[in-house]
Amino acid sequence: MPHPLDCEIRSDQRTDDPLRPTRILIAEDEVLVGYTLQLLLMSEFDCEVLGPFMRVCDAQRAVLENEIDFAILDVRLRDGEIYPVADILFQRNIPFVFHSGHAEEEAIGAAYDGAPLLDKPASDSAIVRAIREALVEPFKVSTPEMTSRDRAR
Amino acid sequence: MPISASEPASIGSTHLPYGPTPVPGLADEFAKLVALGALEPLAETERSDGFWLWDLERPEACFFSADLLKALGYDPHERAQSVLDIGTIAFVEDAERVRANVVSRTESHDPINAQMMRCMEKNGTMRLVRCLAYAIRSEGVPIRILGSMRLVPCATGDELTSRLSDILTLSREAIIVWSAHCGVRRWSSGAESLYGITEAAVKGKAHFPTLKPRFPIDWERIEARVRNGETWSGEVSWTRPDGTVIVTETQLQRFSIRCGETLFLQIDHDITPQVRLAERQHILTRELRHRVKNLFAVIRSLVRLSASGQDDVPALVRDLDNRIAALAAAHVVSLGYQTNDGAPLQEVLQAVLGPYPASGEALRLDGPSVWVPQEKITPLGLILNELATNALKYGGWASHSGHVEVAWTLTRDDGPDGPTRITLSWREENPDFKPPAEVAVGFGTRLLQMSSAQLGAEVVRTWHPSGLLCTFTFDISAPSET
Repeated sequence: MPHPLDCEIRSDQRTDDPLRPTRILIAEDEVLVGYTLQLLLMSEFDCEVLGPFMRVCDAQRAVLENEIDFAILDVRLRDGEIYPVADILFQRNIPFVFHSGHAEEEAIGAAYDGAPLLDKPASDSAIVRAIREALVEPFKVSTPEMTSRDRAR
Repeated sequence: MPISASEPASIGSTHLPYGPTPVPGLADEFAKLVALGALEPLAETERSDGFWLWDLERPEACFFSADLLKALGYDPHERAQSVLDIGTIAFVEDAERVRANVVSRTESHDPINAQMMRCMEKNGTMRLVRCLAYAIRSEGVPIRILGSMRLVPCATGDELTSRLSDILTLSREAIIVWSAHCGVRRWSSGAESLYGITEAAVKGKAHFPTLKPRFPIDWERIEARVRNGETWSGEVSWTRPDGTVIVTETQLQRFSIRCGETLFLQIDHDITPQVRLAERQHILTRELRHRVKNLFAVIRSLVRLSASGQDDVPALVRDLDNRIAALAAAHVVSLGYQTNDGAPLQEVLQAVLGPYPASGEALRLDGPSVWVPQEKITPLGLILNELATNALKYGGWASHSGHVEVAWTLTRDDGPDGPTRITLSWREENPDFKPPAEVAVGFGTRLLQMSSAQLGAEVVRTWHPSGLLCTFTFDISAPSET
C-alpha cells in the first residue's frame, strides 16, 4: 500500500541501525490518533506495528504473546488504565513511552525509572525523538521490586 | 516491709504505732492512725472528701479511704481493703511531686502542704483534687505520707458564664471547649448538628479519637502554639460517626489555664460545600483540558489523513471543514452537560446533521431518549458527518424531494443490569435514486470503518430501491457505567 502520509521513507539508510525497532506496540483508544501513529512509525522505522489497541486487555495479551521492542502507551483506555501493560514491559526491560493528554500524569514515568511522557498531542518529531532516546538509553534499573500501584504513588 | 524502729514515729507529741510490733496492713494502720488523732493536722474549714496513706517503703501501695474512692466514682467494696497502686487513682508524676514537697519539709512537723493533684475518676475523667499531706517519719526518715483530698469542683465548666452559654446555644457555629485531660466541657448545639454527636455523648471525653481530625500540619505543633497563647486557624477535615467527611475552617485558641490545665476554645465553621465545589471544579477543569487536548490530537490526525493522496485542494478543504465542524457540533452539545460526561443522542444527531438538509422536513429523527457516553461522541460525530456528506452528494439529500430518517431502538441483553444496546438505522429515501457504481475506497470510507470500530459497532450497509440503509448496533452504556 502506498504510504498515505507524505513522509519520506528512507528505510535503506536504516537497515543497519542496531537501534531500529522492528516491532512496536501501540495502545491508543482514539482510533484516528492510533492510525496516524501507526503510519508515522511504519514510515519512520519501517517496522511492524501491533495495534493500535483500544483496550488494556487486548494490549496485555499482545505483549504476552509477542516479541516487541518498543511500545507507545496511552494511559486511559476504554477498560481502564494501562499500568498492567507497563508493568510487564518494565519487567522485561522493554522501553516504552506514555502518550497522554493528562498533564497530572507527569509523575507516572518516574514510577518506571523515568519512562518519558509525551504530552498529547505530540508532534511527529517529538514522538520519533522520544523513541530514539528511549532505545538508546532504556531503563537504568531493571529490577522492579514494587507493584505498579506503589510506584504510581 | 513493716516498720520496726528503735525510736517511735511521732507527730509532734503524739506517738504513732510504728514500733517493734509490725502492722499487718495499710488499712489497719490507717485505722490506728485515726484513733491516735493523726488526721487532726489535716482538718480544714472545708470538709475533705477522704484520706490517703501512701507507704513510701512500698510505693506501689497506697490506702484510699472508702469515702474518697466513692467520691471518685469507685465502688470501695470492689477494692480489697482499698489498697491500690497509687497510679490507679492519681497521676504518678503529680503524686511524686507531692511526695517530693512533703519530704523536703524536714524541719516542720506541722504537716501541711497544699497541692493540686490530678486523679482519675472511675469513668476515665480527670478530676483535680486539692491535697493536704504530711510525712510520717521514723528516725527522721519519711516512711508514710498521710493526706486528705478534696475534689475541686469542675471549675472549668463553671467558668463559662451564662452569657457565653447563651452564645453557645444560639450560634450555629460549632463551638467546643475542651482540655487534654478533662475532655470536652462544652459542645454547642452547632457542634451537635455539624458532627452528629450530642453534647451528652461526648462530654468528659476526648473528641479527637471519635472524629479523627486531619490537620494541615502536625497536631503537636498546633497544640504547642495554642498552649503558648497563639491563635491557630486552618482547614481541618473530620470523619463523622456516620462515616461522612466534613471540612471546617477551624480556629483554636487558649481559653484559660486552670491548675496547669489548658482549656481550648475551638470554633469550627463548616466549609464542606465550598471545598467539594472546588474539588468538583478541579476535576471538571482537568477533564476538560484532557478533552481539548484529545480533540486537538484527533483534528491533527484528521488533517493528516484527509490530506494524504488528496490533490484537489478545494475538495480537501471542504471535507476537512465538514469533519471538523461535525466534531465541534457534537462536542459542543456534550459541553452543555457539564455535570455528566456525554450528551443526549437526539441532540447530537440534530447538531451534527442539522446543517445538511435543505429543510427541517428532510431530516427525521425517531427514537427513545438515550445518553451517549463521552468517549463515543467523537466517532459518532464523524460517522454521522460521513453519512451526511454522502447523502448530500448521492443520496437522500441529493434531491429536494428526498429525506433521511434516523431511527433507533434500545435493547437490553442480560437483564436489567446488562449493557444497553442500541440499533441505529440510517435510511435514505430519494425518488431519483440509482444505486451508485462501486467507487474507489477513499478516506471517507476508511474513516467510517475506523470510527465504527471505535464505537464498537456492527455495521450492516445495504441498498434498498430508494436509497441507502445502514444500521449500526453497539453498546451505548457499559454495565460498569452509571
